Amino acid sequence: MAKDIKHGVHTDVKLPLFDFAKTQKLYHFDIDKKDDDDIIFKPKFKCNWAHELDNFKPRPTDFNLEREYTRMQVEEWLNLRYDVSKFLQKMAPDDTVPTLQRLEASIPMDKNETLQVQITEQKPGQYVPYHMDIMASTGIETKKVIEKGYRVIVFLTDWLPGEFMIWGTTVIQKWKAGYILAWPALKYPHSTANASHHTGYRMRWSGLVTDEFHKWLNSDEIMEV
Amino acid sequence: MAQDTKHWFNQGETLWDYRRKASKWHFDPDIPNEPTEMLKLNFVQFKGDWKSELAQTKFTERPPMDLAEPLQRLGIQEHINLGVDTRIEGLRSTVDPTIHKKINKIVEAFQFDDPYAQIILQKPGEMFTLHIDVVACDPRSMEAANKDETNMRVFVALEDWCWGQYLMMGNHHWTNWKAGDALWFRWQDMPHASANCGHKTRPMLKITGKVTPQFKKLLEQNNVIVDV
Repeated sequence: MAKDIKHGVHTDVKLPLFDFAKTQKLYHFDIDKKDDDDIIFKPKFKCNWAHELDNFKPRPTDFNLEREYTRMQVEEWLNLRYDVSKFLQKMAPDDTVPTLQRLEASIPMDKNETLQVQITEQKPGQYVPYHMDIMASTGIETKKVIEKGYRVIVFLTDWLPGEFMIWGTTVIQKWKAGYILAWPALKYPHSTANASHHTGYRMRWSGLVTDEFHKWLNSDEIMEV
Repeated sequence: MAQDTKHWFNQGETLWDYRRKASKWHFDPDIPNEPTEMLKLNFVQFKGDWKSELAQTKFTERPPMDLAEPLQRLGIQEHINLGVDTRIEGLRSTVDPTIHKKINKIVEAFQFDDPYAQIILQKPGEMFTLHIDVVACDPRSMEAANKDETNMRVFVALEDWCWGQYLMMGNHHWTNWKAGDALWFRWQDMPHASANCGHKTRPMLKITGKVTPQFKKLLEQNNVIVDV
């Protein structure tokens, strides 16, 4: 056992978001322990959307510092000397990417709450620092995120060596376009980096889950888009 | 089988394109692990407390960036082609036996001839993009570099792994290492990359030296514990 009891973020922030997320006690923080079986990583979609990635219109992550949790997160990262200009670039699916718009509608998350879907672009040299998701940018109430918040990523490009992802203690790699990665949003600390030679594209859903979502997630059916 | 045949730089003269041609690695991202002829973990492991030596280390050196040196220039060209900041690899410190008494014992334990050792401090946000090494300490031709079977290279972790730290050798993702763990790899062939997206700095000892019969014998062992 190597329970990590020290690994808080030592910054000037009164309560870094990471430390707040740790207080929810959703994760074990033991680097020698396997994760639960609720990190889902498997093939799920089949289609060719490669030509639509040329229509990606990048914009920086829109951190709204009026939101308390966003502020806590950004301040934490700035105090760790991270460069926010090296984070993911994003765009919301629009009619220039019709296949991805169809993909957007294919994941049955709770439609009565905010459902945020973004295409992300990670170029070589870019990263997302180690963190846990409170999904502040969705505006969904924190209590609901803790109870039913989920994130789903659909990989739009194949993995190549140098693309790094670890969720909890689970290494995520060797994906193909159409694979999904899904996890209870606040539970798993995670980070990504792109030290490869190509740009990685993904699509990310942030919302609340329903029984229908879990049924969809547990099914091994490959969906054609 | 998914051998990558496309992965070349199509602009400028890059180290990758030269070194990839010379590499014996398979370039198949679907192969799950690497054979021990290419990579070996923990043939030796070091036990000891070198925290105070790390604490007094000043990290002021940068990777070689002399554009007048052809081999170095080719590496910089890769960063430029990728659109990556050429300073992304961060800072390092050459091992000094007067300061790093224990760390120097680690260096000596490999019994290389003419070893050269550096502690590479990777801060949050820093990374080494995927590359294939060239031992470019002394200027020489690419042809000589591609035929170099004399030099060996090992890494030794100087602190335990923390979340957000990444190191990949070929298709092997090294994670959850402990301080004192060692990794040998065929630098001649294995593309590798690392990144630190965590909350703590990552010190890693890199040792390059001329191969000896003693080193070859050590490399055949498993989990030899050396107290320093």
